[in-house]
Amino acid sequence: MKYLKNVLLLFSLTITFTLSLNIKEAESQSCDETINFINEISAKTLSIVNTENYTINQKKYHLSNLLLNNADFKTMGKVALGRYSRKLPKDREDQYTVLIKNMVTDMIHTKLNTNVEEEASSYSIINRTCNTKGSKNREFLVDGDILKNDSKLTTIRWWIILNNADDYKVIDISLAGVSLALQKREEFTSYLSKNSIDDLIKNLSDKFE
Amino acid sequence: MKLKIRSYLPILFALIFIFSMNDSHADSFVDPEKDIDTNYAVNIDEVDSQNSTNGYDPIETTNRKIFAFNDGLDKGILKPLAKGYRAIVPSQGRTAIRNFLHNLETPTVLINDLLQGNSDRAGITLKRFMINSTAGFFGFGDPASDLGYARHTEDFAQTLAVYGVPDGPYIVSPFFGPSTPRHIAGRIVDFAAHPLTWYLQEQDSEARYTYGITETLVAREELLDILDETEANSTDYYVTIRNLYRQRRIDEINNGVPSDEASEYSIDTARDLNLVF
Repeated sequence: MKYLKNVLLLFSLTITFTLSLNIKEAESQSCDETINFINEISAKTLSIVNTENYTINQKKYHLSNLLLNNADFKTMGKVALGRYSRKLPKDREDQYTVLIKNMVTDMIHTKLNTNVEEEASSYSIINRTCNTKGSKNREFLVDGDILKNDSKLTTIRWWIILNNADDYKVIDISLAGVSLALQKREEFTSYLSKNSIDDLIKNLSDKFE
Repeated sequence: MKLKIRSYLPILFALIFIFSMNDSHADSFVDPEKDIDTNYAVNIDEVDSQNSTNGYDPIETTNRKIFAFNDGLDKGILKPLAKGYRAIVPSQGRTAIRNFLHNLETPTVLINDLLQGNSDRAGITLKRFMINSTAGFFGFGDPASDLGYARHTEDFAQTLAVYGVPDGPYIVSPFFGPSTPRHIAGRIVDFAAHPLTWYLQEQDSEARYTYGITETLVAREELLDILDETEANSTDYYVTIRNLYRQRRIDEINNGVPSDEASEYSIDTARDLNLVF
C-alpha cells in the first residue's frame, strides 16, 4: 500500500512537472509567433508610411487594407462595448462591426493627414516584450517603442488574440499609454448608461457611415 | 484515520493542481452561441464597476458644467488665437518657441527627477539643459534629442504619486481643465518652484502676461489637431477627455513603462465577453 502511494505521488508529480513545462514552452512559442506577427505588421506599416512613392491617398488605401487583414473588428467592438456587448442584437452586429472598422480607419487617415504637414521624418518600431494574458493563453500584450529619426518618440502596446482559425489579430493599440479600446469602452459605457444600443449605432452611423 | 488522510494530501494537491491547469484549456470548447455564464457576467460587471467613473468622478454634473464653460472659452477665444498663431508663425519658428519654453521648465523637471530618486533621468535632464542652453542657442534648438537625450516631463504631482499619495476624485477646474486634488497641489508647488515665477515678480505686469499667454497659446496650438480629431470621433467629448487625461497621467507617472497594475487589461476578454478565439 505504501509502495503504491509513493508510486502514485511520483506519477502525479511527474505529470505536473511535464505539463507545466509544456505550458511554459507553448506560451513562449506563442509569444515568439506573436512578436513575429507584430514585427511583420510594423515593417509593412512603416514601408507604407515612410515611402515617398505613394501619394497620401495611396498610403490611406494600403494602410486600410493592412488593417482589414490583420485586425479583428468584431472583437474590438465587443471589448469597446464591455458588459453591454450582451445587449447587442444579433441582427445589428454586422452593422456595428462595420462602424467600428470605419471609425478606426478614419482615425488612421486623420493621423496620416496630420503627419503629412510635418517635415519628412523617418519612423521605426521596435517590439521588445510579449506577455500572455487571459485564461486561454490566446491573448498577448506586446510592448515596444516608436522611434522618430532614431530617437524614442513614444511607447506602443499591441493587444493581440489568436482566433479560432489560429490567426493572430490585433484588437487594440495603445500609444503613449492611451489605449483606443479602453477609451472607447469608457465612452460607450457612459453613453449606454443613458441611451440605448440603437442610439449608439445611430450616433456612430452619423459619424462614420 | 487522521494520519491516513494526511499521507494522501500531497497526491490530492498534485491532482488538484493538474486539473486546475487543464481547466483553462477546457474553456476552449465553450459553445459560442450559448448564453453567457452568470459567473462571467458577474465578473465583468465587477470589473466595469471597479473601472466605473462614479468613484472617480463623483461630481460629474458640476464637472460637466465647468467643462462646457471651458469648452466655450476655448472655442470662442483660445482656439481661434491658436489657429492664428499657427497661420502667422512658420513651423520652424513654432518649434523653436516650444523648445525654448520646454528648456525653461528644466529646473522643475530636475527637482522632481531627484525627489523621485531617479538619478538616471536627472542626469538626462541636466545634460539636456546644458546642451540645449549652449549648442541650442538658449534652448531654441533641441540638439540634445538628436544626441539621444530625449525630453521627458516630471511634475510634483507625479512625485506625490510615486510616494503613494492617492490622486483623489476627478475635478474639472475652471480655465485649467482636467485635474485631481493631487494634480492641483502639484501645480501649486511647481508654480512656486519655477525660477521664472520669482523672476517675473520683479518685472512689470506686461512681461508676466506675455509669458503666460505665450505658454498657453503654444500648448493649445500643439493640441489643435488632436483635440479636433478627438471631438469629431467622440460620442461623448467630456468622457473622452476624462479618459485621455486619466490614461496619460498614469503613463506619465509610470515614466512610459506599461503597467498591468489594477489595469483594465486585467479583464479576461475571452471569459468576460464570452468570446471564443
